Amino acid sequence: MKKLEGRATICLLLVLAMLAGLVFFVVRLELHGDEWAVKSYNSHIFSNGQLICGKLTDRDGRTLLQFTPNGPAYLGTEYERRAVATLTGDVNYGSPTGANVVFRSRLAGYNRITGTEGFFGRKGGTVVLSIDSDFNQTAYSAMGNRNGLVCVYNYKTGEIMTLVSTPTVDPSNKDAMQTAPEGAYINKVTSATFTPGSIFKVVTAAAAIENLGDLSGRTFTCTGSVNIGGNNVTCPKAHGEVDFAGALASSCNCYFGQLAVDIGAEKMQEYADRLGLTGSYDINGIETAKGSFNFATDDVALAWSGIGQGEDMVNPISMMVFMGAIANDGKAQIPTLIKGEECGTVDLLDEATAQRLKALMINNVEQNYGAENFPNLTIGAKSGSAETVQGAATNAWFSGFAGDYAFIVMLENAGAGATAAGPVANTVLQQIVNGGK
Amino acid sequence: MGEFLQKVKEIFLSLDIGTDVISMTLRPIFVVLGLYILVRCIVSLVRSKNPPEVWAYLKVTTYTQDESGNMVPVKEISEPLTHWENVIGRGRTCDVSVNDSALSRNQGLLIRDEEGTWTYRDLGSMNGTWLTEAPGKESYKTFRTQGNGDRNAYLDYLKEMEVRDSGGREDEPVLISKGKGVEGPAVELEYGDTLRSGHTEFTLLPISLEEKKNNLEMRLDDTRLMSQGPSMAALTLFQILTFLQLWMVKGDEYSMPLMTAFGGLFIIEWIYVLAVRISKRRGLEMEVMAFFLCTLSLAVIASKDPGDLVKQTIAIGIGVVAMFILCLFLSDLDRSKQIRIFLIVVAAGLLVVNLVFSTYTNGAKNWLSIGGISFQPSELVKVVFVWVGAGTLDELFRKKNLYLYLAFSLFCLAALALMGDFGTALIFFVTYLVISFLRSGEISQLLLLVGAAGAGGFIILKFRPYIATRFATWTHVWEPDFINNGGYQQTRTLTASASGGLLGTGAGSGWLSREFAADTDTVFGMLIEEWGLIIACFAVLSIVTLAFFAVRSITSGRSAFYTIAACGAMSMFVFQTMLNIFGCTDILPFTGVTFPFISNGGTSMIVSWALLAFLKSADTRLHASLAVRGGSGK
Repeated sequence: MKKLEGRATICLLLVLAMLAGLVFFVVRLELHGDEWAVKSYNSHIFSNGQLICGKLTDRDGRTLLQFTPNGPAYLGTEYERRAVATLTGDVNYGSPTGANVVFRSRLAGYNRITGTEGFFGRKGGTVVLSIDSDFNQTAYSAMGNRNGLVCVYNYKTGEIMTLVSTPTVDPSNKDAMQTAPEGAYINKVTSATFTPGSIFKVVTAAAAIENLGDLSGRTFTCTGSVNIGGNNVTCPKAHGEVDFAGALASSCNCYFGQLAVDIGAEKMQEYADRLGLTGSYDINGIETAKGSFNFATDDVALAWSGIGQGEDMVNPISMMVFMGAIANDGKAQIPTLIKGEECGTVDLLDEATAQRLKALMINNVEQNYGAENFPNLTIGAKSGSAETVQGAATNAWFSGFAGDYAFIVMLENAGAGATAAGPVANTVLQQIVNGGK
Repeated sequence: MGEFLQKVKEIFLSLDIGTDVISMTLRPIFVVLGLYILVRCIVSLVRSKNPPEVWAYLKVTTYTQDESGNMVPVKEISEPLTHWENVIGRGRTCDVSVNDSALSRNQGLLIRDEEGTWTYRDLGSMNGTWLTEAPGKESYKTFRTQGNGDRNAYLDYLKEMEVRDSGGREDEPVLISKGKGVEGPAVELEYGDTLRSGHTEFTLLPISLEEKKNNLEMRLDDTRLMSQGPSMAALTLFQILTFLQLWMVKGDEYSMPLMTAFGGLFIIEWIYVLAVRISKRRGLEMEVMAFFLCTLSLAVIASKDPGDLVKQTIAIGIGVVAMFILCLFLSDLDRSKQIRIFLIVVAAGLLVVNLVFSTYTNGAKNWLSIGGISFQPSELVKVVFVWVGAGTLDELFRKKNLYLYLAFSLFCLAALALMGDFGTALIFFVTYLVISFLRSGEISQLLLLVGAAGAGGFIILKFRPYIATRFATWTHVWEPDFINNGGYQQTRTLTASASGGLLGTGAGSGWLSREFAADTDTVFGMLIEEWGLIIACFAVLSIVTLAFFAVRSITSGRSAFYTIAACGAMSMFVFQTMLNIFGCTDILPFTGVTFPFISNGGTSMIVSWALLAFLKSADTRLHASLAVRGGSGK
C-alpha cells in the first residue's frame, strides 16, 4: 500500500494543474477584464452596439458626452462640440484615440470588484478629462480655419489643459464620415508625426551644449549660405555675426547646420533617442506616434537634419514633453488626459543643460519674437517654419513653456512660425497661465 | 399553492424595497455562507487526522550467522499491519520493509480478507519463502486454503502446485513459493504462523483485546470529525436565499418549478442526513460539498432553462440514492471485486446499444432514449470504468488483470470515438492514465501511452475537421475571424465573466444564460456572471477539496481497491472540471464537457453522485463513511 502513496502524487499533480490554471485565469481576468467586458454584445452595458452608461466631463465637471440607453449624447452647440471633437470622439467612432474608444471600459464603469454592475447598482463610470473645454474653445477659435494642432500641458502634474487637432467633424453628426475633410479623424498631437523645422534646433542645441565644450566663444558670420560637404545650406537672409545664443534666437541655419556636423550623426541620433523623440509615450492607454530620423548620410543631409528638415519626423507631444523638461530642470511629467491621473515622469536632461536651454529660449523671445507680444508671461519658445511641400507655404510651429506649462502649436501651411503660430500660443496661454477668461 | 405563492410575491414586491437592493444585499451574504461551508469542510479535512487502523502485528526477527555457523537473532521488532494488503520485502516502499539482502525487493503479499482471515502469497521471490506452523497449537495446525479443510488436502494442493514439500512433518518449514519469477499460491495463515525467507522470520500475531480497545480509543481521540450540522444549516440558508433571489427576478410562471426544485433539494438533503445519522455515521463533508454544487446547479438551470428544474431535482434525488446504495455495496470488498466482470459486460453492452440505436445530437452520437427517457450511456460507463480499474494489491501483481483493464479501456475509447464524443474519450483516457499508473507505477509506460495518444490525436484531427477548428480557434478567440464563429462561446463566456466582477450580477440576472449550452459547456461563465468570481472559485475549490479527501485516504486505506477507485473517481472529477472551466475560458481548446454536479444534465448529475461513492468508500476515518464497515473489530 505504501507503493500507492507515492504514486498518488500523480493525482495531486492533476489538482495542482487545475489550481494553477485557475490562478492563471483569475490573473488574466484581472489584467484583461476591462477589454473583455467592453464588447458591443455585452447587454449589461450595451444596446444596439452603443454604450448605455457613462459620462465624459472636462476638468470643471462640464459634461461633454453622456451615454444613455437611447444612445450617446454629444453635448453643447456644434461649435462647442467641434472644439472638443478630437477628445470625445464621434458618433461613428471614426477616431481610434477618441475618449469613446480609448476610455470605453472606464465609461462603461468596469471595475474589478463589481464588473460592469457598478457600485450600488449605478452602472457606468464618469471620466473626468484634464482639459478645460473653455481653453479648447479658445484654441479652436484662435486657429481660425487653419488646420493644425494646439496642446498645452502642466509639466509638473502632467495634466493636458487643452488639446485641439483640426480639422474636426461634428461628433454628433452620423453622416459626417462621407464629407469629413482629410485628417479629421487623426489626433495630430498624439498620433501623427511632422517635419519639425527649426523647433528641432533646440535638440541640436542640447547636444551641442553637452558635447562641444564651451560654446560661448563660438561665433559665425552668416552670409545667408554656407558650403557644407560640397553643398549649400542656406538661411532666408544673412544674419551677420552670430554667437550661439544669437544663432538660436535668429534661427540661423548655417550656424546650426555646421553645429550638427560637428556633433556628428551618432551623437545626434543618441540625443533624438534620449530626449524621447523616437520613443512612444503611453498616455492613459494611447500609444503616441514615434518620431523618426536619418542622420547617418552625408554631411549636408546631416546639417539639414540638424535644423529640423531632411528626413526628420517628430511627434508633437514628444516635443512638448521636451519643452517641459527644459523648463523643469530636465524632468517632466508624461502628459495625461485624465484629471489627477499620473502617467509617470521622464528625466531627459541634466539640470545644468536644462537651465542653459531655458535661458536661451527666454532669450529667443526677448531678442526675436518680442516680449511685448506675450504680455505678462515669462515665456521661452522656439519657432519653426517647416518646409513640407515645394512651393507651398511652410507649416508654422511655435513651442516652448510659460509658467508651469509647456505648449506646442502648429498650423499647416500658415507661413512663418513666430508670426502665424505665436499669436495662437499667446491667446491660449493668456487664458491658461494668466486666467484671462 | 401556485396562487398562494403569487399572492405572497405580490405582497412582497408591493413592499417596494427594490429588487436591486435585495439582490445586492444578498450577494455578500452568499459569499460569506459559501466561504463558511467550504472552510468548515477543509478544516474538518485538515483536523481529523485519520490515524491508521491496526489489523495485526508482524514480529520481524532478523538472523545472522555466528562464527560457528549457527543462526542467531540480532534484531526483533513488531510491525503493526495498518492495511488489509501489505507488501513484504527489501524495497523501501514495502509496507513491511526489512533490510535483508537475501530478501527480494517485493518478497510477498500479506492480505487480510473481509472476514479477518490472512493469506500470504510469494511474489516469485529469489530465495523462496518457508512456512512454519505455530508451534504447540494443535487447533491451529490445520491449514485451510481455498476451501480445503485439512492438512493432507493442503499438501496435495502444494504438490499440485509443484511446490516442494518438506515431507509432511508438521514442525518442519514448508516451502510455499514456486521459484524465481513464478508467483506462489495464496496460503492461508493462522496467528502464530511464521514465515521465513532469507535471514528473516515473520510471525503473524493477533492484536489483543486490550490493544484493540486502546487503538479504538486512540482513533476516537484523533478522529475528531467536525459536526456538519452548522454547515448543513448554512447550506439550507444559502438555498432559501437563492430561491428568494430567483423568485424575485424570474417570471411568475416559474414560481412553482422553483418551489418544487428548491423544496425538493431541501427534502433530499435532509432525508440523506437523517439516513446517515441512523446508520451512525458522521462524515458528511463530501456530501455537503456536493449539495453546495447542486444548489448552484439548480440556480443556473433556473436562469437558463427553468423548465428543466424539476427534472434536475429528480436527478439529484436519484443520484443521492444511487450513491447511498453504492456505498453499501462497496463496503463489501469481495462482492465489489466479483461484480466487475458483470459490469464490464453491461457497460460494453450499453455502449454497443448506444452505437447501434442512437442518432447524432450536436455532433456526437451519445444519447440513448428508452421509453421516453433519454440518457447518456457513456456517462454511466464512467462509473464502471473506475470500478473495473480498481483492484486489490494481489491483483495488481498479476499481469492478466492489467490486460483485461487495458482491453476494456480500449473498447470504451473506440466506442466513444465512434460516437464522436471526444471530450468524454479524453476524460476516460486521462483516468486510464492515472489508474494504470497507480496500478503499475511505471512512468515509462505512462509516457508511451501519452505519446501514442498524441499520435492518435493527430489522426482524429485529420478525420474530424471540426476538432481541428477548435485547435485553430484556441488562444485566438478575440480575432475577427473567430470572435463570432469558432470563438463565440469562449468570447461570450469571457465577457460575461468580466461583467460579473467578484460578486456577480445576481442569480437570474445575466445574459450568458440566453446563449446556447450556457448551463452546460459554459456554466463556469454563467457562475461568474451571475454569482461572481468568488463563488465560482468556491465551486472549483469544492472539487479540489473532494480531490484532497481522496488522495489523503491512501495513507490509511484498507485495500488498494478502494484507494485506486477513489483516485480514479477524483481524477475524473478534476480533469472533467478542468476541461469545462478552461475550455470555455480559452485556456484549453473548447471541448464541451460538463462540470460535475453543476452542469444541466440528468445522467451527468446521477453519475457525479455515483462516483462520489468511490470517495466515500476510501474514507476510513472512524465512523465517518457509510461505505466503510466498522473499525478493526473482528
